[in-house]
This record gives sequence, structure tokens and C-alpha cells, in this order.
Amino acid sequence: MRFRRRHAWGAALIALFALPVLKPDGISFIETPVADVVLWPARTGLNPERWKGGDDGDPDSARARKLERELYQVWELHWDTLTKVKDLQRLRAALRSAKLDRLPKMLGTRVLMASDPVPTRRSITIDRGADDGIEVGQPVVMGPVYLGRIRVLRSRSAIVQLVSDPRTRLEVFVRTDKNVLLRGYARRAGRREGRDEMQIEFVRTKDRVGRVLPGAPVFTANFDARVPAKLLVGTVSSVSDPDLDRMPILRMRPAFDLDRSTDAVVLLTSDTVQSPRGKSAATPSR
Amino acid sequence: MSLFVLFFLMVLAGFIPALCPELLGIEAHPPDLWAIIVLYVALRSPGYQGVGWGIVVGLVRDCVSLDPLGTSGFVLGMVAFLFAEGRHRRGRVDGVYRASLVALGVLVACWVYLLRILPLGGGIVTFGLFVDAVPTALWSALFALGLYPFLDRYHLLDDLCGRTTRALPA
Repeated sequence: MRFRRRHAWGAALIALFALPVLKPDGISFIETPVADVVLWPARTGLNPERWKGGDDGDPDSARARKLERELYQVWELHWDTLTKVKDLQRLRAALRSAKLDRLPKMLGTRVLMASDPVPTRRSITIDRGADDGIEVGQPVVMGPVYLGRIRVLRSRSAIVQLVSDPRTRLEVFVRTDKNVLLRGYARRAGRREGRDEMQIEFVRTKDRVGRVLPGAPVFTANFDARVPAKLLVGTVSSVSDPDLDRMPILRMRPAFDLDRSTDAVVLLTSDTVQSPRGKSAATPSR
Repeated sequence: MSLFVLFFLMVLAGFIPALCPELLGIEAHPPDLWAIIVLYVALRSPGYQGVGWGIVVGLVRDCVSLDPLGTSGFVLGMVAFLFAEGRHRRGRVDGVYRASLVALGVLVACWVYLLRILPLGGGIVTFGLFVDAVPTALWSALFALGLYPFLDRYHLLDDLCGRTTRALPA
């Protein structure tokens, strides 16, 4: 059999088939420079304002238009700052309710890309990376709403795996109508009415704990030292028959809204737990 | 210039989901510009010349997505391999026939991806995801109907497709 070009391409495809199995964490020295180049237009923020036509020769009208643009920019900056302050206040209130020893350090970041190039994955790309001190596994929030965790880290950017990603498995608390928190496990369950939906399983309802009703809030649980508890994940959209086996299956709609803002916050938490005597110990990895 | 155009199209492909309107469900099933680029090169290149560029585009997509390196490289390379001209001359492919091949190619790309991630993650591939690929393929074909004539008219990717015109020797 003669060795033809299609055999070479076939061998290359076989090698590419095996590559994700051999290197499940990727090859950073290849991916990092490519990602930096592809994300460069988003990082520089190509401004369409620069593409508008010039003035019609009248210096007064040109000055008026310039002042108008500056006014809009200042107004936008004012409302943007106000929104950020409100989000940080709500985040602080949520973290205080988790009764943490101290609030974690936070790093503001901007969303460079609000979707994953692969249609079935759910992720955002932020403009902070290893050079800014963030690590894989740290949570990312938008106000008091939990977005996901850092999964891919580059030197100047990072990819956050959202809660609605098919591979996310999240331990959550669901509040009943008697104000009892029940523990469950959430994972993606498809789309409904054009929006991603998640499914919460293994929620055990007993007598006296109450019922889980549609609209009930869902929070992060205390499953990981890096992810603070009581961060809002979503709201319950539907509940299966609870009388069936006392373990209803809940449907949840994630609370994050990437259309509302492009600003997020990385919580610079670590996986070491401070013991009461001040000695730190690493928590067992999952 | 073809490399610059390819780079621009790949950057645009990353931001297409954010630019799509909610009208008619386009936002939920945005056109897969990555596969559209690969199919254009594969359908226009002689032999298997488009397979290499399919692999390159796939690897670039892996670099900016959650998937490990090689996942989309295999998927888009496989699509380019299946839709390449091969050893037998196919002639010019254009018009509605090319758009229907684009729809089929995007469908194949989505399904090959879902089958590819089965041994990697498991438990996340449902029948609904296979069905979800159909509107994506249709919107991609419509997008290609507008994009491909533009690329043909100005020969923007002809260098990659091995279709540069050279002066005849004296």
C-alpha cells in the first residue's frame, strides 16, 4: 500500500483524538500566546466612536458634539460606578451572612468574552490571569451572584467555567418555605424558553422542614474552602412531585445575567484552612 | 492577506454569539463561524489541502475555550477531511449546493464533537444536544450564503485554498 497524503492527515487526526486524553489540562505554552493574540482586539477595546464621521466645518457644532460626547461618557461612568458600589455592598452582605472569619481579598475584572466558542460549553473569559495573582479554582462573582470558578489560567487572561456549563457539578443549599436550608447537587439540564436550566437532585425533604416552592432561592453550599457559602446561584423554577419519594427533583434557573454588566470580581480565596491555633492545613482536594 | 482575513474571521467567530439578536432564536443557536471557515477552505481547496487549515482553526478554538487542546482540532480537521475534494476532481461548488453542504458540515461538526467528548467527560450528552445542532446548521448555511460570495468575489482566502493565480512563464 502506498503511503498517501490522506493517510498522513488520518494519522494527524488520530494524534489529535488522543491529545486531550494525554494532556487533559492542555498545553499552556501553546495555548497562552494564541489566546493572547486572539483576545487582543477585545483587550484593546476597539471603539466604534472613532469610526464616526468628522464635523461639517462649523466649529461651534463640532465643539457642541464633543461636549455632548464627554457628557455622555461622564454620565455613563457615574452610573457604572454606582452599580459597582451597589454590587460590592450586596456581595459584602452575602459574605457576612456566611459567617466567614474574614472577608476574602477581591480582584475586579472585566469580561472579555461572554461565551465559549464551543456551542455546548458555557464560559466567560476575563482579563485577569496568573500575572495578577489569581489561581485555578477561585470563584468569580458578579455582585452577590456566583458565576463559576477559574478553570483555565493564562498569564493575562483566564476562562471561568460557569455554573450552567455541562461539566459543572455544584453542591447547593435550597431554602424551604419554613426557612430551612436543604442540601442538594446541581448540574445542567438543558434549555427551556431559550435560557439554560439546571437540575438539583438529592434534596431530601422530611417532616417539619417545609416544602420547596417555585421561586425559592438557591445558594452555594459549604462544600469547598475556596467557594464561600450563601452566594446566590439561582431560583427554583419548578418542583417535581415531593410526595413521590421525599426526594423531589428541582429545576433551577441561574441568576447570573451577563447582559447586565461586563464587570466581575474574583475572590482570591485559597484551599488552606486556618486552624484555631493559626496553623494552616490544606483541605483534601475533590 | 489570507492569513489576516483568517485571523479576523476567527476573532469574529469568538464574538458571534454576543452579536446575534434574540430574533427567531438566533441567539440560542448562533451560526458556527469556525466550521463555516473550515468548510469554505475544504470545499474550495484541491485535494486534502484544507485539512491542515481545519486543524489549525480547531486548535485556535481550543486555545480560547474550556476544552483541552486537540478537541476542536480533531473535530474541525475531521470535517475538513470528510468534505475535502480528495483524489477525484469535484469541480466548482457554489450556490445553494454549497450552502446545503455547509449545513451538513456544521451538523456533522456538532455531532462529531458530542461523540468526541463522550469518553472525556461522560454523562452530559443527551439526545436534545444532537437535535440542537439542526437550527445551528440552518443558521450557519444562511450565514454562509452571504459570506461565501463575498470571499469568492475578492479572493480573500484563495492563498489558503491553493488557488493563487500566477503569471505564465515567458
